[in-house]
Amino acid sequence: MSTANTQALSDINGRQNIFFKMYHERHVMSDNLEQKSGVVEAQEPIYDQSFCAMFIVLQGSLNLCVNGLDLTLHPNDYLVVMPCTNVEVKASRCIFFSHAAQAHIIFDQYEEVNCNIPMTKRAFSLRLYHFSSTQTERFKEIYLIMKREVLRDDYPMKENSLRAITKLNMVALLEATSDAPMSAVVPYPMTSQRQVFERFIELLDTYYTHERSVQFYAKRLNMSAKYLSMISQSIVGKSASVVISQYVAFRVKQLLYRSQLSIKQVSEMLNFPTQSFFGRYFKRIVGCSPRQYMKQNCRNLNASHS
Amino acid sequence: MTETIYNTQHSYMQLRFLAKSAFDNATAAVEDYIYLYDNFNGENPVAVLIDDQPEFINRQTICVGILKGQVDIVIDGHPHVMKSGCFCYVSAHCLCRFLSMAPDTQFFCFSVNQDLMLDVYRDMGITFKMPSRYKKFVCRQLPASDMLYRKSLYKELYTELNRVAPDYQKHVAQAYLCIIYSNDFELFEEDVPDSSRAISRQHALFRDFVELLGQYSNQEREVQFYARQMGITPKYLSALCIEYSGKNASSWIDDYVISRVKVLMQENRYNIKEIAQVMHFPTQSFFGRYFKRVTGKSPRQYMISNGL
Repeated sequence: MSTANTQALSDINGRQNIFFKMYHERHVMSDNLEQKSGVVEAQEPIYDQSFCAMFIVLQGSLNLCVNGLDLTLHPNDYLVVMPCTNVEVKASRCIFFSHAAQAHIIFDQYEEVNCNIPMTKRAFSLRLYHFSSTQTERFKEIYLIMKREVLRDDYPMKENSLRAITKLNMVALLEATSDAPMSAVVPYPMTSQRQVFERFIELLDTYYTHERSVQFYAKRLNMSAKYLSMISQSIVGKSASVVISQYVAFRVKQLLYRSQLSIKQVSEMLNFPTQSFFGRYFKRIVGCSPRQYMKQNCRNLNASHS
Repeated sequence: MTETIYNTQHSYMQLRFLAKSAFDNATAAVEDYIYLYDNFNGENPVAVLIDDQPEFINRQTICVGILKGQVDIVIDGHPHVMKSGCFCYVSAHCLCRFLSMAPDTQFFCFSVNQDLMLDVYRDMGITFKMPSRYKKFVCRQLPASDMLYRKSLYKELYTELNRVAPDYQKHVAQAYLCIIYSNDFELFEEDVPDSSRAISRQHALFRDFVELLGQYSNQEREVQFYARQMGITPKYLSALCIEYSGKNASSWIDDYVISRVKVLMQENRYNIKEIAQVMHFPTQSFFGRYFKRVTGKSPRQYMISNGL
């Protein structure tokens, strides 16, 4: 991807008017603060697994799908997403802004500001907070400072400046959660079933390139495939095989969208027996063939891709 | 960690901040991380600054934004002008003196502790360039929108420092300073040529003297004391002072002592008798005579004429 990508998503499908900027693969910012209609269309996977992201909603409701869980954010909600979590933005009607940065940047700033509570990566894959309007205003102020910085021309210390603003955000977040540091309103209670599901997702993260059968994951989790499916059904409302295939589809979309790999390379990376099998698998889940998907969504499509 | 002083209520104290940072043993000054000062409520600092302010050494780095008007200042013997629309940086440990300030001047400034400055430099990734290599005074003309943006950052920092818990104050200050400095990074790219950085031994001695004054002028008023601290004769010290500033050593001491007394008077906490004690004068009458000899007025007359 190009280094300072200023294209609004309107370039892709001509209908949206969302501000979107990725800075040197390290920071991603998007918002529709200046849009009046508040219409947000489903977005492609904008950043990869090494990013830590946050979403804040000012008005309306934002529909997301996080690791298979369908989640709706309401005004003054603040969602923090850990790395290696699949977040898909679905069609919504809201005013929101979001900032994502490479995980190490976020963690560094967190540790600088607060050495007492160590940040564990996999404690929760996501944390959902609900703040007051004044607190949300503060986050918006900080976001606007960062937006202004990102839009300036490149200069040697721009990254440091962005990190400083990330630190400000971290301070604001810690301040806002100071009365109850770990009590994010998690959108689900952490039952043992949920723990099993989280472990399932972790395994998917590790093995999705090779194994796509429910039986494999069930065996790793020491349970029957039926039981695993039952757990998935109760947590996210989808069976285990659907969760697996949606996860794989998300990662494939990410690869196609962000990297320069061809369809054949992606299918080999994921150890599909043939490219045609891969194509049919993708079409069954996503609805269009990989080639069509790339045509619709990828600006960097190289004509020589097979 | 000491608390930050971000209270800008007392207008006189606002403008004595530079003096305060030189007097770190004086009444209320503490070596804090950052001071924020401005005169947005429109005070006119002219008379106060020119008459009363002796030369002093600023302990902290100072960043000033001039919104309106103009300030003339002498730094390390070189005159500089801070015009409206300018944002200036003054390094720490410079010999400073105000010459004049236009009546309609509006400014805001940060006075930053060296420790915090080092952290900011580190955040900005400047590790190999030692701060002493930077020019003593750098000034930059900003377009109006940039200056307004800085002003809004200043105001935000002010509200944030008032609002956040003490643990986070330093980080917040660090972050805002990093943003401001990063915006001006090119000012710090230039290398200062060696010749202008070198300070002769005499100049170094003179600056030591001024530093000592900052430290001990509330107790010691003898040239002998300071000369002995520095390992030179009183005659030599006086000669140095005359060479670098035109005033002899005892005039310098007098100026500093009287400045401190005036600061104490402004604090409104002490009466004349207490001031004499705090400043280690043997008796109140001696203090009165000393004050009159230097300023021409008696302490009470001075306090009355200044509305205290």
